[in-house]
Amino acid sequence: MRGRTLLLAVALAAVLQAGVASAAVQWYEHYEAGLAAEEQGRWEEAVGHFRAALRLGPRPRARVATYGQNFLFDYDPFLHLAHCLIELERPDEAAEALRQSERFRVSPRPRLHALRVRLEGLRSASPADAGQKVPTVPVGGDDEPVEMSPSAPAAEPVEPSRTAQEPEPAATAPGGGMPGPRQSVSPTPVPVAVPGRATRDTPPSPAPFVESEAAPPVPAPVATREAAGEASPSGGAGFPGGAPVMAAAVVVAAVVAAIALVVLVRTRRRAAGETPATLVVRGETTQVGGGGRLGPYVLGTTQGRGGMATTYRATRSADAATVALKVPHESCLVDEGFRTRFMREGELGRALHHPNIVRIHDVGEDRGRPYLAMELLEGRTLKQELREAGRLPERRALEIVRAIAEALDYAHAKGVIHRDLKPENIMVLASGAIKVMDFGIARVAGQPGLTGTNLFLGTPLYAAPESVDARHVDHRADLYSLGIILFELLQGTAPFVSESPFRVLEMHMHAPLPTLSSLPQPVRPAVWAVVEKLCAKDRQARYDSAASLLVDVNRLLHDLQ
Amino acid sequence: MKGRWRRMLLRLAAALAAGVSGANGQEGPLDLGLVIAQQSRPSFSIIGAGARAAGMGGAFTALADDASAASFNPAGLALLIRPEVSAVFAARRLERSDRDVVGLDPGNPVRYSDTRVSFSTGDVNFASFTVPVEAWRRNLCLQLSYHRVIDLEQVSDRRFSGTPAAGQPVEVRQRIDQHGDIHALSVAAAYQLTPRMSLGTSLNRWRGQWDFASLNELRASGEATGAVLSYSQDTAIEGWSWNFGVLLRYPRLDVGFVYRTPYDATLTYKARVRGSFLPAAEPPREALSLHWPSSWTAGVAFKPTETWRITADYYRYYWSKMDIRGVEIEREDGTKRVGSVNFFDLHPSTETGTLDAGNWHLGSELTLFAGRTPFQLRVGYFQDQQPQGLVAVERGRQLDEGFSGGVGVKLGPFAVDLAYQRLKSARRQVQFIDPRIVVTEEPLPGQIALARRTVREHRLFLSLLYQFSRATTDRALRYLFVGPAGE
Repeated sequence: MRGRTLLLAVALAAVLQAGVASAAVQWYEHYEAGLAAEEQGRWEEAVGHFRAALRLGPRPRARVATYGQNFLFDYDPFLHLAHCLIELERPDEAAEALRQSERFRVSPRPRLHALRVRLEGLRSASPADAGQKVPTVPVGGDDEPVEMSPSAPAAEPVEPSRTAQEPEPAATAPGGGMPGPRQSVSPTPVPVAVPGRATRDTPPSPAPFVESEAAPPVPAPVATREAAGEASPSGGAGFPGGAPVMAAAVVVAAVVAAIALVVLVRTRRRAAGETPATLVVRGETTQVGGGGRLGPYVLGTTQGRGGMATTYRATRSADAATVALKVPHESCLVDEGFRTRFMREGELGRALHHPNIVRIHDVGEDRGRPYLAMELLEGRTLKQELREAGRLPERRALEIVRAIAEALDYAHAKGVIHRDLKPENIMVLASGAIKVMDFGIARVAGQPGLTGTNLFLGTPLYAAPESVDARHVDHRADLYSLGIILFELLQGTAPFVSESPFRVLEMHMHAPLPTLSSLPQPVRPAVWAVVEKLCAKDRQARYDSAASLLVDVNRLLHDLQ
Repeated sequence: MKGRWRRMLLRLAAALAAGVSGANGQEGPLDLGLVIAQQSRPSFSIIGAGARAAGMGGAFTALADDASAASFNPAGLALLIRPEVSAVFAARRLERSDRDVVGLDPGNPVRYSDTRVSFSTGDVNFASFTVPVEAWRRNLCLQLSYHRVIDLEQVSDRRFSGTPAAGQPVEVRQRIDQHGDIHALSVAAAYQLTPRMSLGTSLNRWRGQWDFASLNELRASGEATGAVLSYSQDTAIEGWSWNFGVLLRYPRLDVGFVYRTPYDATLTYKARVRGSFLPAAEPPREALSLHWPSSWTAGVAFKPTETWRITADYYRYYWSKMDIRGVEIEREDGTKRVGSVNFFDLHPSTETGTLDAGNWHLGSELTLFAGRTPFQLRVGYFQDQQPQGLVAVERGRQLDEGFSGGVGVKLGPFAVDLAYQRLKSARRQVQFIDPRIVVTEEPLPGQIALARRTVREHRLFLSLLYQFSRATTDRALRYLFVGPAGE
């Protein structure tokens, strides 16, 4: 962690160093600043900006993109550079700049010609400057540098007198609004060379580039920008040195930070003063009034809670018999038909007497609250058993399946389908005996016209494929669920698992079971054949009854002996 | 009692959200996140503003060189050298159809009739004021902006009937009115560190306010009355966040990266409920803490020529870390603890099934000229993965796919851009049918249904931008911070 922080700090320092060491103004900003300086006669400053634009920016072009939807037209820093150099009486550099401008053919020839005339005038006035060394100016940042050689072609000698130029359209960048080169329409007198002033800003020659109409007076330049408190060359905020802006920025940032801090503190204070929000994600309790009594039963501790009901440990007053009392949630009772169905299914379950089915002793109602009194069992659910064991030995798995199949065979023969067979509904007693719970209870949750099982009350890990699309679910849906349970007993996990219950359902409908060879835990082919038959997508391909399944399971158990 | 009401009302919100937009199939019934994510809009991705960017499919992180830059990459502001004001108007039309609707009741499946709803909305989507100044001989650009990030307008009214295999047909009506948005007020700053590199940041004040009202009814055909539920809720959200951006520019390639910090927001809501099967209630306003996770975007812009841009952005959202905090969670053994739950599926954060999302956006811009007037043609393609993975029945994530096109023109200091986007998504998902689902522990058979939902959304963006002279702002700043010349 410390190493990473150090690396980050070093990288940041390097970046900042690079930033400090470089000019961080865009080339188009340099160009615009150069034009502004040129217009105001700050020749030396303009030269610096044009050279920077040439170094950082693209080659001169008739059309150059800057940022956004802005384009510069007739982008030719060489032309302006040449003009400024002429004003600074540096004819050799000006000649080279002019030569480059002519090479890129961006600016109109008359304009170039005008400058050429002035340049020759300058040369003829100060022949001593000829042949001086000129610097190298790289062009376009990533382009090859252009040698500003003094070997500029000699222009034809021109009379140092007025030269009329043809008017041209003003070159302004639409949108960008950057001032283009001024159009020269007035006579351009040749300046008189002043030895020793080549590196200083000089007053502009009378209107070297003036507006085509009623040209405004060119402001008199001064020797240095600082001396006159001039605006920054790049036309920034107009602050000397930029320092006040930074001070202002710091003040603004401090104010913003203070406001943010105050709001943050207030928010937290307010939040701290409030009672912590409570959101119970799951779980609805069943409120039972009447002093904890329901019919002849006195309610004790909560045994469990499901999507539809809460199960209490209860004692019957008459004989002190202990039972498990299932009481529907209050919310379920808003459905007028629920109570009737609950009672009816309870009566149906009461008729089931089988050693592998949890017995329903009593069905009743008290103060509008129906209830079921069931056999109270001491043990764990198969779900809990699996959670601890991971998976079970093959023999134990088959024994459990046999016990469940016997219960199903009995219930199916009586016309009762479980519809929600899953490890949570199977009790494993301390003796090892198996008991199936909640036969028919799931059916209760439906409504007339919308009735069915509560297969989707939780994750449908054990739901048969026909649960969604089939118009009728029969006893073979229970056999499919039993197949999934057998798979889980052998492998430690259900075959179709996903974070979405509906995705699980889709997998039941379409995804094939894993192949025998791909199973993480080895399974005998004969046992696997039973799993595959139980888990067939087409219910016609499954066992036609639990009795048929029992034949195969008993045979497999016999083979293990 | 207070807890019970809160629980019930949250469930109401979730269920009704699902009812209108189809999304309540999770094991956890309190899908509060769906109030925003599902019912509010089809797309939950947060994309920047501007018709120019919209025309390029939202792939703008590596360009970000106009006034809408801060909403994509604040570093791009450093490229601006002129003050700009901009405004973006957005309109959208949403068409949603549900077909093959079958009640989830294996014993007696109910076939529902197809439905189709559509509505249109429009409003100001973005507005900004940008000022570049010079500091330490570098460009420093400041921007104030308003961005309507998530449009929560929605109006729909649909009626459909169900025919069970056995029993009496039923009639369903679901009506919803929702108005409001989640917007951000931002202060952004960008600095040109080197000619190649610029850095930017923005401080965002998030505020959201939306009112939701619905009416749900299920009754047997021919019956005058049935189960009726009306529910309304006004919700507000507030929070602060930072965005950090970097932009690198090379002759043929630009590279951009943006990191959006996580933040904790307060989420408050007040609900009112009235139903034929439960007493009317108007509990007090509730407050929760909402943790909005970090996200980042990386983008490149390839410049084959001076007038042609090809851009690609990759967005990464960590929706699995979007949590509601300080809530009481019940363990399997009945005991409770205080923790956080995921915003979208309301499972405990450590067990959430919500998936993070990675979105691709591709775009291109070609500039043509009519004389010296540049105008642009733009196209784009994008894929947005939505965080509601659990509600989809089919394998895979919920994916919105879209195309875009746009034009723009620059006339002097004015720029006008127009963009059109078309999104489409189709998937099987869960529908809410019975209003009584709000008082059941978990969905009972027939209370929900499976449907094939198709959503088509048309979006139209219009951007107006005006650049003005830097001298104007220079004078204003000089007056504010320096004083008259010569002083």
